[in-house]
Amino acid sequence: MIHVCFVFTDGASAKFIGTAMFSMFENISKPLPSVTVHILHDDTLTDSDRNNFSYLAGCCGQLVEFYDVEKICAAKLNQMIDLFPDAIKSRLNKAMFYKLLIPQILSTETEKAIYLETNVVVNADVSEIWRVELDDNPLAAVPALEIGSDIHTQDKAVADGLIKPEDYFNPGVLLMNLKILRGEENTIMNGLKFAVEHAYFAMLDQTVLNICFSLQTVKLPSRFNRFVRWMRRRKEHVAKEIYYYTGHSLQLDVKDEFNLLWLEYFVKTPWFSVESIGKLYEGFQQIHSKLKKSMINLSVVMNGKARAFCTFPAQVEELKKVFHINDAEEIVKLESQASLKQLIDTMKKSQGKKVFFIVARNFPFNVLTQAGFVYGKDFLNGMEFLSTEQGMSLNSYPLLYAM
Amino acid sequence: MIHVCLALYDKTGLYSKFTGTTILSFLENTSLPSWSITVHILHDNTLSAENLDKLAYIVERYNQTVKFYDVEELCSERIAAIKEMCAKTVKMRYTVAMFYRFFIPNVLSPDIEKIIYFDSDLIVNLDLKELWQIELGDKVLGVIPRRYQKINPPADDKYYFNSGVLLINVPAFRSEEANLNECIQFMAVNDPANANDQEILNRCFEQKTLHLPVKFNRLIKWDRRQKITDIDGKIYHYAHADSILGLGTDMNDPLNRLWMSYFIKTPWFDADSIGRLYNEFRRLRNNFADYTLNLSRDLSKKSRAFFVEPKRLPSMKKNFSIRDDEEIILEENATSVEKLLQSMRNSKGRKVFFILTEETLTKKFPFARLTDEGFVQGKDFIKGWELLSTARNEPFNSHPLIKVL
Repeated sequence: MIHVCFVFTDGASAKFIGTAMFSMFENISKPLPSVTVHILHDDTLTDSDRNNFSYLAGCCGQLVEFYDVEKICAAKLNQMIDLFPDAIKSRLNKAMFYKLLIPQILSTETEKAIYLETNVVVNADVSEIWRVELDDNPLAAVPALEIGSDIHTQDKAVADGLIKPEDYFNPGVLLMNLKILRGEENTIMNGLKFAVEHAYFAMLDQTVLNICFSLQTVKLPSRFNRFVRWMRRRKEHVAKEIYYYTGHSLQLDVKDEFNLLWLEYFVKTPWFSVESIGKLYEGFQQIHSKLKKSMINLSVVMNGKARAFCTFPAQVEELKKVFHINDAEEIVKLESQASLKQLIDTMKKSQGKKVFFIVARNFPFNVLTQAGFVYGKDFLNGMEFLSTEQGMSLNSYPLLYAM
Repeated sequence: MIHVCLALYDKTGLYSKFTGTTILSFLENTSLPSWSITVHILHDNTLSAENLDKLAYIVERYNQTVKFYDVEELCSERIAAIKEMCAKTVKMRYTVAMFYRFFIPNVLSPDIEKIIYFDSDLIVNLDLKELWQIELGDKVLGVIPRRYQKINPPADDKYYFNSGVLLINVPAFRSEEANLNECIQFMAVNDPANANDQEILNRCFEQKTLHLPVKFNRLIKWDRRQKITDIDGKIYHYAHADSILGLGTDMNDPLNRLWMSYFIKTPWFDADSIGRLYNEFRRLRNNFADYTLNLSRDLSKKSRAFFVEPKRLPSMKKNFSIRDDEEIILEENATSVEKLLQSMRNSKGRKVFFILTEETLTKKFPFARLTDEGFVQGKDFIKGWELLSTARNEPFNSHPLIKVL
């Protein structure tokens, strides 16, 4: 029997866990039932979601168990949380603690478990991970450097020299030696204390697990934890691997095979229904309404004024086409630091007579407001007017999340 | 054995899903074991192999029988003749498939004495047996008269019927072939813009029909107009596609939900459908973005002015943040449009006029009067209401999203 754990602390994650579970069930080669899914949850798990998880497992001939962590493990959970200063407590994501408590939550008869993040697709056979020999090592994971060159750079503990980049692993997919980890409770608590002392709050579980165990972690083959954003960067294709959709890498553009892969599994889960289409449509409506409002605002802002533009020299020709700029309209080019002052001087001279459309990524708008100009009166963010064809990206993750 | 017939023309490949959804709905709702169903599909060479397979897959999933008839091969001369005669309507929003129902007696086995004909924009939310068991006697067609849709129908609308649902007495229909051909000819010559299947059938069979209860062909626009929100055991007809009266993606609307709940069970629905939905939305959004860019150019150095109905002035002032110094012309009477034109002449090049009335004095706004004088949309005037929700509070017509699903 293979044991797989998910942590559920956000109602919306139900469909992501469901999709991960379904993909895993679809790709397992062993006779049924071969997998028990353990869902460690808080009070956001609804009866409807619980039923959907059970239904999904049942349809696929597998098993699922639920653990209300706040009830089962309140004392240990609070012990961990109390290590943190009050100001930080509210910002902490308790999912991180649930993960660290897996050895205490699962039955002592379960000696080994796979941990998976909620937003993964298991396009490979998990039994291949299960077969990896841990011996007396506490964990197996994919080294961060094999996933991508920047993952370890986000952890302050690596910058401080506490963990070597080549030892750093990403805990999005873990094979946990529960027997050994049960004896390492103190090590983990000490790891947490250390993280608090050094203010390593950003990616707590990742930092703590690496601090405690990076030198004893068995290396898993990289195909068991592929960050989708790295797959895209390297222009690689979908294969029999496990994909991790970090951040907003999951989108609705199905020309991307990774997006399509996730959606293909998702539509076969009980979380996909007529409601999902309805929610997608509601998302479209909201975006559409915002667009209409911005058009009206534009008409308010213009108010008899002329247009002027500010952009990088390389973008001028494109901008002229896109905004239909005529020769009489002023364009301030951002060539150097001095250009900002030039822009401000130009804006001062024509204040009240021109609206400046600033078309530059990461432009420091606060410099203009500090100089006394008003957004929506003297200047606008020109980037917002561009379509996706012209380079303005439309982040569809919120639409997908709401489905 | 229940016989059901549908016709299909599908040049884009996107229409077959409607036929498939209709078929799935009646198969889902018609209970076995005593009745078997044969689905007869009249098509032409626009039906791709892939879509044919999907249609067959649906029927076979319910252990029923499907038969395909390529009418272009089986009735090539008749098709050519009717296409030529009725060239005008074939080019309009209809397709040639609307005529395929005329060839039922020629194409199907002569054993078949009774058949139900369905358009492809239906959801059959009842057991077909209810319709099948109706005895036609010597009537040619069982139909649902238009007056049954309305609460207060006009007294003189006695016989006119919608041709989307027909219960056909095949031998009687066969014997009327000459009569039908005469009617086709007559319409083609005398009223070519209306030479479509519905007008022709009404002309030909006006009083040779048995009138059936409205539940067998309920046009959804009437449920919407009469604010009926319950879904019942009816055949719902999603006519008036591509308007806000038709099918859309707002799932708060029970009729939209009903159609979608069947569609997602067909093989046309998959992850790619979501992708297409999103892509179409992105395209609409990009069009909007382009419009905004053009607007920024057209508003440059110009002030705004507004043409608005007095009763909507307060809300428009709010929606558009209209300032006191901006000109407002009220749409009060028949001379208001002339007042607007006068103002536009006086301020040409200096103002952009936002027309905020979709209809002026119960008629649509006469934009032709503006363009005839040389005013340009987007430069001199803007259809201001397009920047707001429509009268029925729908942000946009989502039928284009349905089409691409």
